[in-house]
Amino acid sequence: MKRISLILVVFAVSCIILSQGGCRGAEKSAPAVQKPAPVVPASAAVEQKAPAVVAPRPVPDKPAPATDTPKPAADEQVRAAKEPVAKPDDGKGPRIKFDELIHNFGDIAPVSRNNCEFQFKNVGNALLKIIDITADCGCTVPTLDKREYAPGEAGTAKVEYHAAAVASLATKHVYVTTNDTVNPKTTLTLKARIVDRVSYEPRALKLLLKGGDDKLPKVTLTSLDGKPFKIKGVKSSANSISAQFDPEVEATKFVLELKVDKAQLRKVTNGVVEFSLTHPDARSISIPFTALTQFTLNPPTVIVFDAEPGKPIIRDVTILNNYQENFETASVKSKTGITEVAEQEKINYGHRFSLRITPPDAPPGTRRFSDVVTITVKGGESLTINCQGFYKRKK
Amino acid sequence: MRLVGYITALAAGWMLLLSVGMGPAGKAMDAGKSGKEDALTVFITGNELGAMKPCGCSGGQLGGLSKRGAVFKAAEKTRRVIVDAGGLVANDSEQDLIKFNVIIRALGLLGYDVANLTKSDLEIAQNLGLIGNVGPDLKLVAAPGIPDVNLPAKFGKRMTLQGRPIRVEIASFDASGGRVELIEKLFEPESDAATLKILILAGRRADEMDAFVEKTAFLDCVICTDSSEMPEIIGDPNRRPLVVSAGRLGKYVGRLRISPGRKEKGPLKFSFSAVPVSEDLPEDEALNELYKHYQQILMAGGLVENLPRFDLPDGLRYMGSESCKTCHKYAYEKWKDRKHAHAYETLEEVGSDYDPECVVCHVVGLKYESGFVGPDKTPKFRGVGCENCHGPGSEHVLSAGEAPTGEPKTPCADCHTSENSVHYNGNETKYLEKIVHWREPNAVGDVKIYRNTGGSKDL
Repeated sequence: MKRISLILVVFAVSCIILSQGGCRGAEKSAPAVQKPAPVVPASAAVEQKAPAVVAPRPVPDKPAPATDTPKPAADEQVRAAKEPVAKPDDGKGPRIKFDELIHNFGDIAPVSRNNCEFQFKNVGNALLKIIDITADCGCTVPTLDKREYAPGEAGTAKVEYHAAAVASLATKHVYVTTNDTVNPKTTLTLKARIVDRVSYEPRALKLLLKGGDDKLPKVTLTSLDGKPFKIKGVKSSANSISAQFDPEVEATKFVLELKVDKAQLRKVTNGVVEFSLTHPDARSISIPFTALTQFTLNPPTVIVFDAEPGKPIIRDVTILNNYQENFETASVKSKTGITEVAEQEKINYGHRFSLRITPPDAPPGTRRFSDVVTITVKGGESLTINCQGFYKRKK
Repeated sequence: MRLVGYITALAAGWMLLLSVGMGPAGKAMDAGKSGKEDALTVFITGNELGAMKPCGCSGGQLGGLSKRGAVFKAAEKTRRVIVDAGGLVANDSEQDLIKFNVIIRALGLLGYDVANLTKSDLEIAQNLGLIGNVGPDLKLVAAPGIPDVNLPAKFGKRMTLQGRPIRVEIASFDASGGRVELIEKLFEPESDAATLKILILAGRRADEMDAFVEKTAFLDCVICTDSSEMPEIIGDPNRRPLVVSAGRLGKYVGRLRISPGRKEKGPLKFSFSAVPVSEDLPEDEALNELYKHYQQILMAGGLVENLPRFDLPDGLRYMGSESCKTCHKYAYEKWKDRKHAHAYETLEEVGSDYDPECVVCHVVGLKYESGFVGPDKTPKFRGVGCENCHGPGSEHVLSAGEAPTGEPKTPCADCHTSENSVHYNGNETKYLEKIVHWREPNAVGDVKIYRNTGGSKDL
């Protein structure tokens, strides 16, 4: 019996050793499927260091999601192999300990500079060296006063975050690499919500070239943080739009009546009107505008991919009168002769054309062809459509 | 004999263990060959806002359509769904319309399964005649309730996970235009396969999701289209539905991995991460060619030349850096060999010299009358010159220096943003050192400048 017990013990120990060795071997032998892409865990996953939580779902035959601590895929494992390797804590050497790993700025203004500090301490028994401190974005600048910290010494990682110009959620990471063998790389997380400080309505202007100024939209500028501001100036593409305001008046809301120079507006038809403000977090507001010319062509550019020489392609184009007047077309002409009208249909205040584009023969090395189609309105203007075609790639 | 029997039994036990995958030659090795556990992946992008390529002048910049495909290749076609949550372009300018066309084409080339069109996307797609013309593989969806729209609100793809059929359904909904109760109808069962319900949600901010989730517990995942710089989990990562954001500007791809639960037919496991579209990822030749086509379309359309421009105040005009040379020889000599003077050439090298969004930071006065129009028409305004920082110089030159230069004076940070000049923040002083020229030696013919233009006085 003793011999049997001995054999069983040897067997059991062998199995344990073999299974561990086997699994390690499998991990090591996992090939890189492709060039590894570094993976930034989603912020909540970074925070979530708790064990896997499986949410039970009552219906057994229906897939129901559960949450698990994200496991790295093969590409992540390859990358992980390049990262500093953590070793078991033997109680020796330097140890970095941060008071907090996450800083939330809360609501911040677009394009603002925001500063925070992460306090840390060397809680080990050897000199702590900060090897590297980097961020995942050029907008986040981490700095340290020095790189070496004696046992028991505290330090501060200062971080300046430059907010983007667009209202959005922001999560940024700072990576601190040290000679702490147990925790060689620490990830610090910054969170913020970038919020507009001045809102504007409308978000885009549609301007009429015909009709009175009574149809002009008004622009409303509103301080969202309660801070009053002044309007310093207004400028617009081709000097086509202006607004009356008193530069000395300070308020939290302005409703501006616009004035349009129609002769100038005809020159640009689309552009930007820009308001300069004294608000500390919103120096200017830009609103794009479009002038509704007599006619609109849709689309203004026809783009064709995968074209083959001699194989016609049909593309629909509409021409509409923006002032709801019926009209007739006089002619449709193709500059290169590759486009012709396959079908024409009258629609409300406009016409729809089915254009048949026949790509020309392509000399060797030619990848592109083009045409300009001109539609002339009876007694009126001519409008052009830019056609750009690209031949199918030869495999 | 008994001992031989024990040894034989021991050997048999070992063989059994190896065959079930505990050993290095077993199933674990097979899993290792594919490098993954059995899992499905939903790749999520959104809020592209016309960002097709990272700016060519910065190092380490993330993003770009041509590198995104390398992220998707981590999962096999039959085991992945690629979805764009919409917001392909920022506006509806002429350039945005061209971009829209090109981005839709790019999504097809990248193997996207489905693209959601927001209201503004939809308007553009209709005007461009793209509905029904986006290629055979890419499907379009749009939120229900938008008049005159003939697009489905839902997309479905059948896959298998550990031999178990799973239908991944992705539906679009705009909470600002429809009652939340209508969402359940979008997911009415179409097959016997188990269904994974993913909703692309517009019209709700990220901070409004808690209330939304309470009413939609039947969903598995919600992609909130409220803008976030990177894809991330919104709120509790353990709640159902799991709420994630789609990211912005194509810098990251959101990756939702769905793997089997611990029990057969039990709950599936979700994990979500943001994969950076890093600069060191391989590029896709077809996408690079598409970008060249895009530049050719911009060139043919003359977008730089026809850009709407502001008038300069007080009748001022740009003069070009050569006109400064006579009186400011020292500063001119300092400038002419520096990168600023050759900024336009760097654009030509990367093939972005017909894109007004790029050109504006590589020339003098693109947005203003009398500034850069094109390399042939206005060669003296190629590159970043004196008047970018100092303002238009016509009055200053004509008055032989009596009048100051005018407005606008462009601050460094207008172009050196964290998006386009990734190392600038935190290194402002070092950057200024590169262009220092405002302490001129008192040489004959030079006008000494005492005014500091914004740099450190120690320079």
